[in-house]
Amino acid sequence: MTEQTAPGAARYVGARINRVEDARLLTGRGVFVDDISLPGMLHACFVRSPFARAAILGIDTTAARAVPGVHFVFTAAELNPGVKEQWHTSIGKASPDTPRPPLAEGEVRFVRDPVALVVAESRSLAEDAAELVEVDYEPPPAVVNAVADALAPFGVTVTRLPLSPSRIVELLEGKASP
Amino acid sequence: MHEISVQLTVNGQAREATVEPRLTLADFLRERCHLTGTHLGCEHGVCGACTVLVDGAAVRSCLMFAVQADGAEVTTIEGIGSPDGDLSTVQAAFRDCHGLQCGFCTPGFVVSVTAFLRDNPNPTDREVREALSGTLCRCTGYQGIFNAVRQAANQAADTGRGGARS
Amino acid sequence: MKPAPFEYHAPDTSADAVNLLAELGDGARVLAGGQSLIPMLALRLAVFEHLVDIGRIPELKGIERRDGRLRIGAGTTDAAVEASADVTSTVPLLTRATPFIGHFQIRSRGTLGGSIAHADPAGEYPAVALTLDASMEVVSPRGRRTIAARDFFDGLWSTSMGPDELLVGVWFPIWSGRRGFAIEEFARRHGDFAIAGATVGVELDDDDRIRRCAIGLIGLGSTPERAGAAEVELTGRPITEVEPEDIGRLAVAGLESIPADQHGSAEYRKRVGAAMVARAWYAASAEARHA
Repeated sequence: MTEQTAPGAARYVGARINRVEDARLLTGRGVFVDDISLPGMLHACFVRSPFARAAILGIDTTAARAVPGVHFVFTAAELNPGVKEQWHTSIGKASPDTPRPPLAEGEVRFVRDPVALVVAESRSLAEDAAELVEVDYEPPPAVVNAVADALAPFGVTVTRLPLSPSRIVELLEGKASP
Repeated sequence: MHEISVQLTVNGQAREATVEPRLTLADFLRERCHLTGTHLGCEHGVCGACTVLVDGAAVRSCLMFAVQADGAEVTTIEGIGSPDGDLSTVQAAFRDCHGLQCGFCTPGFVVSVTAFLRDNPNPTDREVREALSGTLCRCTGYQGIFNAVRQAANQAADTGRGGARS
Repeated sequence: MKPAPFEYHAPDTSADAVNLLAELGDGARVLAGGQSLIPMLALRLAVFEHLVDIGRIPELKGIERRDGRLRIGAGTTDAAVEASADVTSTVPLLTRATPFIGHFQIRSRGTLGGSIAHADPAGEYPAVALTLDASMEVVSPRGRRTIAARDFFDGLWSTSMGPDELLVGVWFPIWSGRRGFAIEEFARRHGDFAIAGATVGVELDDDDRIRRCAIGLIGLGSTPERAGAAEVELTGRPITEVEPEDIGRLAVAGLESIPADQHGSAEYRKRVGAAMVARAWYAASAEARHA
C-alpha cells in the first residue's frame, strides 16, 4: 500500500460533513411517493379480508362501481390474468413457494389478504366505494385443539401440551399414559 | 352533501376554496395548496408528521377539518425559514445535529419544536423529551433530534433572541 | 384513511346548537376539539351524518371565578386551562392533571368539556371533575340544568346527558385552608392512555387532622371512580397516622369492573392503581402539611 493519499481525502476524512439533501427535506421540499401528483392520476384502495382463512363464495362489486368518480373495481378474475409475474420472496422466482396471486383467488389466507381493488378519482371516493364491495366469505371453523382432536378418535386423551412427536407415538402405541 | 366555502391564510398568503366538510386541514394543504411538506404518517393523530401551526399553536392537521380552519392563519413547514430559503435556527440545528435521515417526520418535528421553543425558550432536558414525545421517528433514534433542540435552545439563549437565521 | 361524508353545521350560540341537535337526532354528533372524535371518523369506527361544530360559540369559552367557584367554559382548550393563572390558584389539581393529557399538540385543540362529555374512564378531566364534585352545566331546548359529577358518568363513554343536551360549562369547587392536591398516572409511554391513575385532594385542620379528602381513580372501571370507603376511613384521622400504601390498597379494594386487555390484567391494574393512590396521597398530604 502506498503512502500517497488522494487530494480530497484530507478534506473529508475525519471531518463532519453535512448531507446534501437536508436543506430540501428541512423546508418541506422532499418528494415522497404520496406527494407525487400527475395529471389524470387515480387513487387505489384495497378491500381486504377480515378473516384469517375463508372461502370466497362470491364478490358483488355493483354498488361500488356505481359510485361517481370510481373508474375500476378489480377482483382476481379481472386483474390476475394480466399480471405476468407472481410476487415472490427474496429467494427468487424459481422457489417452490406458495402461489401468491395479486388478488385472492377463491380463498383468503390471512387477515387483510387483498380481495378487490378499487380505483377512483380520490382516496376518499375509493374508500367509500370499497365499503360497498360485498364479499361472501365462508370461514371454516378455527382449529385450536388440533393435537387433542386428532388423537381423540384413537382413544388418547391429551392432558398436557406440548407433545413431542415421539411422545405422540408412545401414546398411540399405548406404551405410556397421557 | 353540501360543500362549504373557506377562507384562510397559509404562510402569509390568502387562500379561498370550496371544500367537502370531511376534507382534513392536512389534505387541504397538500392537495388544494400543493404544499406537500406536511406529511400523512398515520392519519389518526398519533405520529405528528402532519403538524402545522394554526393561529400560532402546534396542531395535528389530520385531526382538524379544513372547515374548522376558516379565518385562521396557518403556517406549514414551507413557511418556517425565510422566503429566500435561509434556514431558521431550528432547521439549521436539525441539519447540524443530524436530526433527520429520510426526512418524513422532519416537518412535523420542525414545526412542533419551533412552537415549543418559542413558548419555552429555556427548557430542561426532561421538558425537551416530553415535548418531542408527540412526534414519531423511525430512522434516527431521537438522539440527533434531541441534540438539535438543545442546540437551537442554547443558540437562542446565547443570542438573546429566538428565530435567528442561519 | 379518510372519513365518510357528513354534513357540517357551525352554530354560533348554544341555543342554536341544541336546537340543531334536537332536529337532527341520532345521526348528529357534537364536534368540539375533535381530538377523540376525528380519529374515530378517520378510521371509520364511527359514522355520523351530521357534525355540529361548537368551536365557534363564544359563550363556551372562558375561565372565571364566580360565586366562590371556578367556572370553565366547555369549549376552553386544554392548553388554555394549562396556562391559566386563575386555574392554578383556585383549582391546582386541574393544572397538574393537564400535562398528562396526550401531547401539547393535542392540547392545542382538545377541550375540557369535550373530554368530560366523552367520558373516557382513563381520561384525566373526568376523574378530576368527579374527585372535586364538580357540577356540569348543561343546556337543551327545554332550558338549563346542572348535573352533579357523581350523577354524570353513567357507563363506558356514556353520560346522563340527553341526546339534545349540550355541556356548556363545568363548575369546580374551590378548596380553601390547608389543602394539597396531586395526580399520579402510569402509562407505558408518555401521552398514552393511563393503565391506572389517581387524583387526590386533602384538606387538613390546624391540628393536622384530615378535615376532608377525595380520592379519584383513573382507568379502573368503566367510568372514573371515587374511593369512597377509603375517604370515610381517612376523614378525621391525624395525617401522621396514615400510611400511603394502606390507603392505596383500601382505595382499590372494592373495585368490581377493572378493565383487562393487552396492556394488563385486572389484577395488574389494581396493583398499579394502589401504587398510584399511595404516591398521590403522599404528595398531596405533604403539600397540605406545609400549607
